[in-house]
Amino acid sequence: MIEVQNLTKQYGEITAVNGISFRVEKGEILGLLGPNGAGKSTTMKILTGFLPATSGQALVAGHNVATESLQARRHIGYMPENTPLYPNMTVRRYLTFMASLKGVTARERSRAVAAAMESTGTTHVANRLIKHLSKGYRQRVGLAQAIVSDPDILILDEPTIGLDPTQIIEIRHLISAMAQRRTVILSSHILPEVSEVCERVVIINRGQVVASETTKGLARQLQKTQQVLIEARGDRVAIEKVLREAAPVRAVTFERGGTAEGSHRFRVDSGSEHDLRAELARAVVGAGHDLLHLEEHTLSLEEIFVQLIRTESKREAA
Amino acid sequence: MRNVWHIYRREIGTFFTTPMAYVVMTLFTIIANVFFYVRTTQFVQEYANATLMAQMRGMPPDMNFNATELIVAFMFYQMGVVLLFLVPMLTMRLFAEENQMGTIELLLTCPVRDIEVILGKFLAALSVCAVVFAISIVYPLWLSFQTALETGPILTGYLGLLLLASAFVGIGIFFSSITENQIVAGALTFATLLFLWLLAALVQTNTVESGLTEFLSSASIILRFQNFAQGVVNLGDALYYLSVTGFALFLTVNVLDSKVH
Repeated sequence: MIEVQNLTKQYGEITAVNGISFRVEKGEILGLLGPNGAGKSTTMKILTGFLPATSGQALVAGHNVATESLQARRHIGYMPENTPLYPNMTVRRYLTFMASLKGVTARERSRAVAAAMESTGTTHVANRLIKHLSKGYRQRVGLAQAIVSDPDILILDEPTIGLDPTQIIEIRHLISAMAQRRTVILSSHILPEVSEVCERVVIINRGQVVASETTKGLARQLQKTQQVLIEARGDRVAIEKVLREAAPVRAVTFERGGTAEGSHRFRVDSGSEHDLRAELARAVVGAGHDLLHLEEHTLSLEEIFVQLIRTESKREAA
Repeated sequence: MRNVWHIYRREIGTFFTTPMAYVVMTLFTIIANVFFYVRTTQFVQEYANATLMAQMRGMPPDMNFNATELIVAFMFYQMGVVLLFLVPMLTMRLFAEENQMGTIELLLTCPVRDIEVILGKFLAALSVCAVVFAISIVYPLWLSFQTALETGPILTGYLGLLLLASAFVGIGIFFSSITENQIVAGALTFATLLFLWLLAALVQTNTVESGLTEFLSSASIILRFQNFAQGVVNLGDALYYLSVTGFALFLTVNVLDSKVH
């Protein structure tokens, strides 16, 4: 549905996007992830035909966004960063205006606007001026505007930025609902958002694709060694010694925050994919200590993200 | 072209739901009113004096006092001057505001051609000017009850005003598209219009070489307008205004095309 090949965008000396390639299949939800200034918005602006690419090409629904811009744009519902809206229009007037520009016929228009307001929960503010709406509602109006012509592709740039936690959850649900019949690209610098909504993630840093994976595969790919969190009661030095000798481990580190009187927490890194849990448990109990807690630690997406970005920067520095 | 209409309707809506159109219409009407009053009073006094002189000499009254030329043509000229101030106020918002709010991004990513957006906005601003001109019809109308007026020069005068306004609006839209700041857009527009206007003054000083004079007077945006106000429609003059408009809008298309915000 969307194909990006070797896309590069330079603003004078600065290269915002540097040879990005990725594909989005029909019906897929893709998360574009990266720190601020990584080139996510620029990529989206090129896809929507707002900015021309310096080199490379992008196809949207089979149309080249540079040469067949109008045809490509007809397939896209776009919500730019910070959701620009006309503050002096009412929600209904605004949506009607956008619908007309997106080619919704006069006969269909009021029905399309009503449907967009219905699915974004903005029907009850239809006759209010946009400038009097809260940030959460403006975001909803931005989404309503994106779906008003019922496009098959949605491109949403940081759809939850600046919202409070409840609003974020609401918008996330809305996006999931909208994505059922559509292909979606969504950008974010917040991981949980992407992992919750998206099936696949493209991580961008400094204008380059660092990883492109399913959300699950990404965790698997990076976590090559097992880590076990263990909490036991007894003499700290003695427990640490037991853990080191129980199995071939790479490192045992003491961590703060025991949950019970006289208990200590440790992190054991196996240095391999070998499962250490049974051996560790047996060793601790065998040495006469109380085993209070034992758990395999999986890397959170945040950790993966930070790790990826860090290795990428190191490679560049080298 | 349907998109031009959608853009046009929104812009007209904005003009008339915000104070700008009313401010412009009020200012224009007040200023035109003052000019008209002053000129008409002058005319009446001069006419009375001339008639008195003729009677004293025992001659028939002077028939050269032509109200159309002396009042209406003068009025058109003054309306042109007023436009110089008012058009920047109308056009400064058109693109600068969209640039500033970021809505330009939404507008240009809709399946709409850049030129359709530009034409919609251009026609909306020109329509506000047309409304203002329509209000000013009361002056010649009132005058026509007092004395005989020629319809021809009045019609061509209004035609000239529309052409002048279209060139002004085109220039204003161009400057609005290159900035995010409405004040900057308005100031640049005003400066440019004033410059084009003052070319006429340079010509009148007779201090520049004759070749240059010719060039300057053909480039001056006002000297050509005087022809219209005097009832002379010249194809070259009309083309001049249309090409200034076309050129300004063409530049605007290029600005939108290469938006790098």
